[in-house]
Amino acid sequence: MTEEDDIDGLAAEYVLGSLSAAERREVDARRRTDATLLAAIEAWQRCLGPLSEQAPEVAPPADLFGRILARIADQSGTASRVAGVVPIRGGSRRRLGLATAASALAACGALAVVWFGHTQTGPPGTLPASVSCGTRYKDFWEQFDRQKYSRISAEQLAGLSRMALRAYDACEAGDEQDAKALFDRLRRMQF
Amino acid sequence: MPVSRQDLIAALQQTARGDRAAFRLVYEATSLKLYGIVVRILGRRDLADEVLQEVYIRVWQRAGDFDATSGSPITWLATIARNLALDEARRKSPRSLDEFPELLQLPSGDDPAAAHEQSEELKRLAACLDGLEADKKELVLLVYHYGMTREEISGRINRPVATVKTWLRRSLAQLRDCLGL
Repeated sequence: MTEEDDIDGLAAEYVLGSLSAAERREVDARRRTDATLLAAIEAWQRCLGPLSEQAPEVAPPADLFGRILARIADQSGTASRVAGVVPIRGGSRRRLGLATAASALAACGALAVVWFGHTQTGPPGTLPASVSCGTRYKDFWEQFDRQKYSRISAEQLAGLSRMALRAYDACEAGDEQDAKALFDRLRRMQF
Repeated sequence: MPVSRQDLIAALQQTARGDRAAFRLVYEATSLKLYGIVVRILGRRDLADEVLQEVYIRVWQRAGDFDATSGSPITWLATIARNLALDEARRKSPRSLDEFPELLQLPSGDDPAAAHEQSEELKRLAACLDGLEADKKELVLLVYHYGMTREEISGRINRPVATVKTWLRRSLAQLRDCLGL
């Protein structure tokens, strides 16, 4: 078997989807610099792509497009809004104060009142704003739509607030693994 | 919502210019199919919801990369969806299709109504797939539609992983020759 054959076989299996996680990562890295591999992958995508026509049609959740638009809006407006994100320190735990929280939480209606009652415990501090952690925290609340709010109990809401703060704290503390796990769990919660 | 290939191409081109109404049209025309692709690979609705969001955020960001001269818009979109779903599937623990038993059914290709709606590209590919031995054809379709690794296939059909790899490579080479790649 020649090297070209190997590349073609590898590209074919990559597109088909049979490679393990490690092999997939290897191909993803290699395709950035290996024009032959990239061309083979694109050829196989054109070749096998039509099979996707056979996929069944399954309805996604009704609110999914709204969630997508919210994330797009947040990404495009992040730079202008981040200036309003000011984390504060309260006691031994870091808490988050959002100067722009009212607008961020407007979609949640009375949630804003509950949320402030739960979190504003102690004088505001002057920690430097953290772009990524604050934005991720805001992302979660912005995607928390009215439909979900109408279904959630007060106890669940309090638990949700605590978990969101734990996720933010973990992010700020540099514990990315914990932060990601918590933010992921928050996004997947069903009510 | 049925939308012609030309309308979908135009909507993608407008999406690349930041037109949200066109983006909505792309979503409405394709999300049922892309969700079907993602759900079948991931087997879990919560993960599929996450991935489908990522798919359309990527479409919004990269609609300008779509080249109408090198392939159909649905194939381009499906490639994005499959890649993100496969990446997610490889990160997670073993999957289950318990939530979607109906999705375990592979397309038979014998439905005349479905055949009528197939693109010319799919008809050509289906003819080449029919040239494979029946069990090899099923192997190729299982991997494509469910994103099963060689190891998962090996466990399912009780054959060594190396054998599965050989079968896949040979079947794919046969397809390549049949399609004239």
